[in-house]
Amino acid sequence: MLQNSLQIAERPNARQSRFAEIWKRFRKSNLAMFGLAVILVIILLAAFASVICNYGNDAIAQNYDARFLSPSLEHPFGTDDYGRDIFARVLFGTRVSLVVGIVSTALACLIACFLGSIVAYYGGKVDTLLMRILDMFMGIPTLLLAIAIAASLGAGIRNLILALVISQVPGFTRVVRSAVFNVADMEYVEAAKAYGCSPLYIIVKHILPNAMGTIIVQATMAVAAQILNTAALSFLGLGQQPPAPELGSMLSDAKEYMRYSIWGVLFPGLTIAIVALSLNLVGDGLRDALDPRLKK
Amino acid sequence: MLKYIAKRLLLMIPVLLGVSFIVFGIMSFTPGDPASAILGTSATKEQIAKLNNELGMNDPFLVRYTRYVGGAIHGDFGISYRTRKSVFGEIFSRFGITFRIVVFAICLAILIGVPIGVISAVKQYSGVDFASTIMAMFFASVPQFWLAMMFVMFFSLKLEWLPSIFTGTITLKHYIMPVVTLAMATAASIMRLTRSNMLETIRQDYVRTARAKGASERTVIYKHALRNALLPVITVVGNEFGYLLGGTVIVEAIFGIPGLGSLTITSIRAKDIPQTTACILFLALLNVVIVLLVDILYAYIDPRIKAKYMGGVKRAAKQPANS
Repeated sequence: MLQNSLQIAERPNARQSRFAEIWKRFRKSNLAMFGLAVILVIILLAAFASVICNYGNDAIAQNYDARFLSPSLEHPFGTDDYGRDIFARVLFGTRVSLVVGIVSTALACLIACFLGSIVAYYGGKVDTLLMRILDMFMGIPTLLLAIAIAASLGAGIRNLILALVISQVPGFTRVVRSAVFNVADMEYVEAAKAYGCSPLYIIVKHILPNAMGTIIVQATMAVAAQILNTAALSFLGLGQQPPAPELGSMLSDAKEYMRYSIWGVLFPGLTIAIVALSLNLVGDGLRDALDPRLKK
Repeated sequence: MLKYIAKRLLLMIPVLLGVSFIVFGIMSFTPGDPASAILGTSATKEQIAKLNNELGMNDPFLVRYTRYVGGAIHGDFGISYRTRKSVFGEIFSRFGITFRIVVFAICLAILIGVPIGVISAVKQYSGVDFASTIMAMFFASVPQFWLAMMFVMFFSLKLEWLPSIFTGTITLKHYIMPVVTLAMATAASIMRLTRSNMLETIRQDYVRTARAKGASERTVIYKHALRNALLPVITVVGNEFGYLLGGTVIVEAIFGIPGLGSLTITSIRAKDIPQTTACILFLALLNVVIVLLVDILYAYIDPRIKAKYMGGVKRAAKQPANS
């Protein structure tokens, strides 16, 4: 009884100190902290886009008197070929990219955790069969698979997310599988088995939390990769439909008028690069913080 | 070793069969039909129904797929719905240009990535190291098509040095921008991998031994450290090949290159099932063959791996792509 209550009392502390330790190591990396700060600012800007700009007036309404304006106080990023404010369009476009990147990665991550932990836990034939099926998907270059799915389903955000999820799952499952493999042989898993815990309980309570480090690092980098893929697919006309702003489709429009104005090319592209870069920096920092042995 | 290669070659068959099934399935279970795509919006319903029937679209999915595989075994991959020509005729006429771009890009990426990686590892924490790490991070995060557009804006529109589109007689000048665009992200990942491998090898005992016996710094770095550090880089080159094959789709769209990537996109859009399946199948085959070649090369160069294959073929070469 006494022992039990002691255990309960200690638990939150133990968890807190683990996070505190990771955070302490993460904070040491200037680049990672810089990435974190930048991505937080961008997320805030995207979340409050409708407070900063008016969607209908700034991002959608056409104004032929104000075409191809250079950056000014009124239009920080200039205006495009329809006289729309590029800054407003970039803000709303970033929101779309972030949502697509995060949602598609989260869904793929869930599916991969489910598949990966099952095959790694049971091993044997289940493992061989599923890995062979995934090999088939991995035979097709990721971007090409996403393009094929998105183009066949037709343009639109929902189809885009579906395409990104399907094309991501095979690679992600491999990562989860190898992470789970590393944990599944641990003594505490064996102890839990000996205790008579159900496989589901062991996977959810013992294996996944300990494999989480690798998975989180992979997921952070995957969001960056998906934002790049989203832009590429929208650039090909497979994403958000006009006139709604999206960074990739803005670039595809800007390609037509880049002879006259460079701002429409410069800012949306820079935004994508900065978002992806800061996510990669955070991912790098997290990897070092979660596994100090990797850092030299 | 031969046994291992034979086994890998045999394993390719189910993978390619699976790829064809996936592509066939994606094209069949999604909205839209080839006849409407071929005839356009002006066609009547009867015309569309007639053409769909002629193309065999009214048969169940599995019947059509079995028919396709049956033909494929005999070397008949079908006729493009769009151009009415043999699908592989179209692929072979466009493949050269894509292959050239990808191979040039890989070579360029190695030429940029390896030396910079070595320098920044040897001079760890120096200004050069910091700058090249930042540059690598940047190029890994930049959208390829945006980089291409910036190049066009600067080198074609502003300086008027390089042609922005593949028309007229194709010279080497036409290749510069597409190849550089495609190579940068790969160069960045090769550089980062070379750097981290070099850092690890430099600290190995045999490198210290080489230094202790009085070998010059140059010999130590190039003869002892670099050779070992480059091994994992070979694997990455194999993995990057697939990535580049996908990337050409974007680059070809921007520079108007009549290659395999643009053919694939056009075929997907036109619901041209035989052509799309053949294109993706061909790209997948290329990808799988390159990965196999890299694995063999790897085993050939590294005696430790070779020994592993000799003593029982297990899933030894299945290394996760950790770049």
